[in-house]
Amino acid sequence: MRERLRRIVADTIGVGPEQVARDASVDTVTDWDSLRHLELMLELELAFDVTISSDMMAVLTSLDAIEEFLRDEGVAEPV
Amino acid sequence: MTARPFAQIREGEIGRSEHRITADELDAFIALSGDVNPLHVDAAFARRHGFRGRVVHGMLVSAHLSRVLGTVLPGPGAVWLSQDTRFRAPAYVDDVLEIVVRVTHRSDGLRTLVLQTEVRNQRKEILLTGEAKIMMVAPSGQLPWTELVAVVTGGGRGIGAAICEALGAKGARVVVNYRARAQEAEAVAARIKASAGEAIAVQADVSDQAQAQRLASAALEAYGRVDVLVNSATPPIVRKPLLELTWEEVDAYWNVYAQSSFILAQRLVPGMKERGFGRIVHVLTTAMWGTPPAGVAGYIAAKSGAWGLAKGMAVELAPFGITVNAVSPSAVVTEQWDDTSDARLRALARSVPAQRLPSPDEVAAAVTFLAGSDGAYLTGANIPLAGGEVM
Repeated sequence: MRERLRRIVADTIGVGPEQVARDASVDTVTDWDSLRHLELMLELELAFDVTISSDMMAVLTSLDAIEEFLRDEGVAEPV
Repeated sequence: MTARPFAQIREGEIGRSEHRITADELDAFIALSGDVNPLHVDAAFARRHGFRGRVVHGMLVSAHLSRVLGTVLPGPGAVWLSQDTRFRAPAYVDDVLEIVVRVTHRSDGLRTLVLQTEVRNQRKEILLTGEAKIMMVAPSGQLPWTELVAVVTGGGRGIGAAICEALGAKGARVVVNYRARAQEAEAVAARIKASAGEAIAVQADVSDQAQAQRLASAALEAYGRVDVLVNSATPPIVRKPLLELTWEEVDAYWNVYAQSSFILAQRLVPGMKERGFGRIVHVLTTAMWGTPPAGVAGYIAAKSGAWGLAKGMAVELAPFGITVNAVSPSAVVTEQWDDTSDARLRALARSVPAQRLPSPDEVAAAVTFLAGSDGAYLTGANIPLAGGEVM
């Protein structure tokens, strides 16, 4: 799951996959700004068929948090 | 032009527009962009390379897509986050572009949309396909008074009547709710109409769930919408020691203050969300602030319950341009105080730093502020109209 998330983040943010570390977050990826974050949340909804609330959007700011959220939502591996 | 409410946009909704590309437009885009590629500038050059004539820039076609996204669907308030585009065939001068966008996904939580985008020419050839991702800005909450419809519970007399007349004077259409005194409520409605306003009186005991529902239905039937809900009805307030108080008496307060605002909100908020505008105002009491007077435990409990409900609603409805606030006046001398001695009323007035009690018109003025566009950014606020009694 982590590798797929890295690809989604890289594609959405518009950076190379190598710039998205396994523990990437808004603090470590320079171009992960507020508009790209919104677009990333939308990509996650489309890719995993989940619904993300505005509250949740505010905390899904790292790959760790996103992966934990998706597991809680019942997204099974492999994805 | 105001932002379109997000709640109005549906998956599957289609927006379209047509536009004929002119030579002047192409030349203007060349001047603007500096893209003097001979395929765009020189018709002979373009023909030599297998094109019908000067090729219109793909970005000029995309600019018309931008126009449709920003003015048609999703319309004003759209922020274009990203666009995947594939140019399938060239566009030429005098082509008539048919730009079609369709909503394929909407996310309530993110206030974002995904739209399929397509541009065809007059021969129905596909020139451009793609996918747009759009964020919608929040509505600004500005609507003229003359468009607004207000429901005021307990509007037949006292504070409620003053609120009805103040809202009517602003230009709102007013539903004057009353429980028992039809003549007084009709008189309020008549005074609004006499001042070139519009109002109806509707009987409903809002402490009863079915009658509260009926009030909402009557308002929607009469005016087709409700934008402002003012919860100002009250049962008689009786001072009683705790041990003499019955639960039925507590329940009577609860049913009017909390239950009715809940029932009415559930019926009226969907329409407010659709329009991206709504105002809910509770008339509460300064007795909720600090130490309450003795003998009104049931009253305070129910007013506090209504305020808890209001805060919950405020946070949930703010993204939809709906505000939920309260006005908490000091004792307003209405019929409720008929049995109180003059000496006690004077003592009450002197106990307030302002040395007087508020008038129904002053409560109405605060409610009117919260109900209009001026109060658009204020939500979850309980304003003490207290002359300094509480701070």
